[in-house]
Amino acid sequence: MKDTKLKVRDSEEKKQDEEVKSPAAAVQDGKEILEHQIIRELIKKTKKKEYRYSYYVERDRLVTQNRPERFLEAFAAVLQHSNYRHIVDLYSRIGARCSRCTAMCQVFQASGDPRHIPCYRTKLLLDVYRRHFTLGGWVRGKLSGNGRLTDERLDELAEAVYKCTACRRCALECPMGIDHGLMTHLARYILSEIGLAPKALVVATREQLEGATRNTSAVPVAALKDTVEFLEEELAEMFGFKGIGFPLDREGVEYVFFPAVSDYLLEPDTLMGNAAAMYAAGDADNWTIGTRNFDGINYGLFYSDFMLGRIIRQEVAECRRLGRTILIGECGHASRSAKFFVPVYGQPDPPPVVNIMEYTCRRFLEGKLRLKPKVIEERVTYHDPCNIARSKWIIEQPRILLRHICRDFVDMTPGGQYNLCCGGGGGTVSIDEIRRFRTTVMGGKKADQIKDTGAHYVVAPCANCKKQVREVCEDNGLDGVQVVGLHDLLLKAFIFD
Amino acid sequence: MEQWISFAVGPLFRFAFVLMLLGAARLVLLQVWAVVEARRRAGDRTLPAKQILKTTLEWTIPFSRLHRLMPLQSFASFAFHAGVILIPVFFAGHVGLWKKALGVSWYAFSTAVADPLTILALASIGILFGIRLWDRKARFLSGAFDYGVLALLFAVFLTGFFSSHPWLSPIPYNVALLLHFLGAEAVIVMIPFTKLSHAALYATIRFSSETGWKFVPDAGEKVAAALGKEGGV
Repeated sequence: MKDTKLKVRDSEEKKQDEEVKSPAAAVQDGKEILEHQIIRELIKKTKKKEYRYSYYVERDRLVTQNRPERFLEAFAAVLQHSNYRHIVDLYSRIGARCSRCTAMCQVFQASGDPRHIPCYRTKLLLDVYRRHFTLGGWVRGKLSGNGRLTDERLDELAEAVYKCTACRRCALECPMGIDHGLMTHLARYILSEIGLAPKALVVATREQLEGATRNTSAVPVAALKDTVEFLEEELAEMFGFKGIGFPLDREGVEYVFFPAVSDYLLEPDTLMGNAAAMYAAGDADNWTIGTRNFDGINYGLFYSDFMLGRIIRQEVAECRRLGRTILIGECGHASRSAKFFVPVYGQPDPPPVVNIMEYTCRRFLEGKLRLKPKVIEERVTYHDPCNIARSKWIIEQPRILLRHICRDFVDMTPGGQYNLCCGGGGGTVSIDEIRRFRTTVMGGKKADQIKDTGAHYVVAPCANCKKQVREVCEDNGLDGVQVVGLHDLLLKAFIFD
Repeated sequence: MEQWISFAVGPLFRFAFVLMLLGAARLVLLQVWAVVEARRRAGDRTLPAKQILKTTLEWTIPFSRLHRLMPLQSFASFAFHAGVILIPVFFAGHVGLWKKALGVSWYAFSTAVADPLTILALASIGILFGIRLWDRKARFLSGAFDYGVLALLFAVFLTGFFSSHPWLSPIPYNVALLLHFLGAEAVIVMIPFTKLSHAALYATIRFSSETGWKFVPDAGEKVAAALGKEGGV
């Protein structure tokens, strides 16, 4: 492999080549040579054109001929079968390109690169629509002799839509009411239909839908059982009594729990807080975790409506097997995908969806769950995950709890519906290849915001936000900041009768 | 010249106005139909109509927002739109023309109101043009039409001002009047065919955006099938 004479264009490309080659190193000699030859052939054949994204794309999806034609074919199919056509048509007519969205986009503000302007990103897709799907655009294209979708334009679009955190903050301030987040979502979906989607998202989704474990982190059921047993022991030790548990596969309950599966690996305190909340509120026997499906993550929301729907149906099936209500853990996109798309894909009679913070707050306000006041001495601030705050769904609930248990709670500015994204939204947090861009450009303003609060704890009740904010803190010199979930702090405040 | 003016204010205006009306009505009807159809196909048919109407109204009279972000552009844009809507409809000179064309008349204001509005609109167009020209991000987004339509609107307001104040006009009254009519009719005709269509579609936009997130339950499978895929990840 060392003798490979590859001339890489830049460091990103070099990295991607290494990624492409790395699986070969793990295989047997004979196979390695074969795979190596295939890769060399592939690179020769494609003249390296496919290695131009800052994110990895699966190797077998890189060799594609007639990409513009295939993109247009996919675009046509999506327009025909989905509900996007009238939106694309409307936006392509009315877009005034006033640039007001630049005042809302933290990526553009940090980079200063006009290619990151939300309206420009939308324009990339709308230009394709106008030229190839409208009579006026076709005539203009013919008269001017250009405008056809080319490989270069396709690449620009594919790069642009993953430099967006899909936070939809720009949509709040578009005077016309254009939702650029929806256009990013659509462009990603069409691109995914021709194989252009970040490998990190595709691989995780494949495991969730077709793998043995049926979850994005490939956690086997045995490991899940070990983990929850360990957490139960920890809880018993912490509170001095046994009983706070994680009931598995209990039938006939109200709540079926779906946290981001990565919580089982990375966020024990959040999970212990979740279980303690259920116990303290008197619902210890009324919730369960299904072993057939225990992952709330839904990367389909970030790149493919098809995958979004399949994951939702899997989730709904598990809820129906065991209980009545889908209870989502501390995760923004898992909550939004369930709340807004269970009613789409979970028909007939879709189960209700509740977020664990909503649940805990409601029980607290009802007086069924008691919390010690002002037990957290250090300064605490709260980061609103875009996927639950932008629609104003969950803004006040966690703040009610935090104001009660914290002596020094401060809000970020702006916050709530107008919050700044952590910088890793839209699935970009899973793309480790772009970490530097993600933490310095996409998340740079979040770092400033956290710094301004002077907080010791940043409560980021979302698996993706937590990972991103931790990396933002690491890469921006915020060493003393601790990034936690809401229930991590509540764990210190529960009162058990 | 008189004949040209009569033609511009008579048949040409009626043609432009009817074309605009029919074109705008077609756009609105198609869009409303599309929203209804999208809702029918959607898995989730809820539509927060009150909230959408509220947001639409907030943006129609965005006093609470103008100073928040990009204040110069915001105020200029608002003043420009105020002029573009109020002067053609309520300026006494125009109300007379409306009466002649449609046979009905309504409240009208004189040059005492129209003049400041016109000057404000001219200044606003100048500012908006300047922003597109000198602001890097706005320039990056702007195309020839964005500049052209602002220039045309500037010319319409200016010739209108000269027509009502001939003693200030460097060009003959009739020429100013003819250019004013022709320019205004060009703008009217453009409404259904260009980005000016937001004048007709504005009230429907947020409803459409909302229905964009109301997905069709089996669309994914159908798209995959249309592309000859088996449906794997």
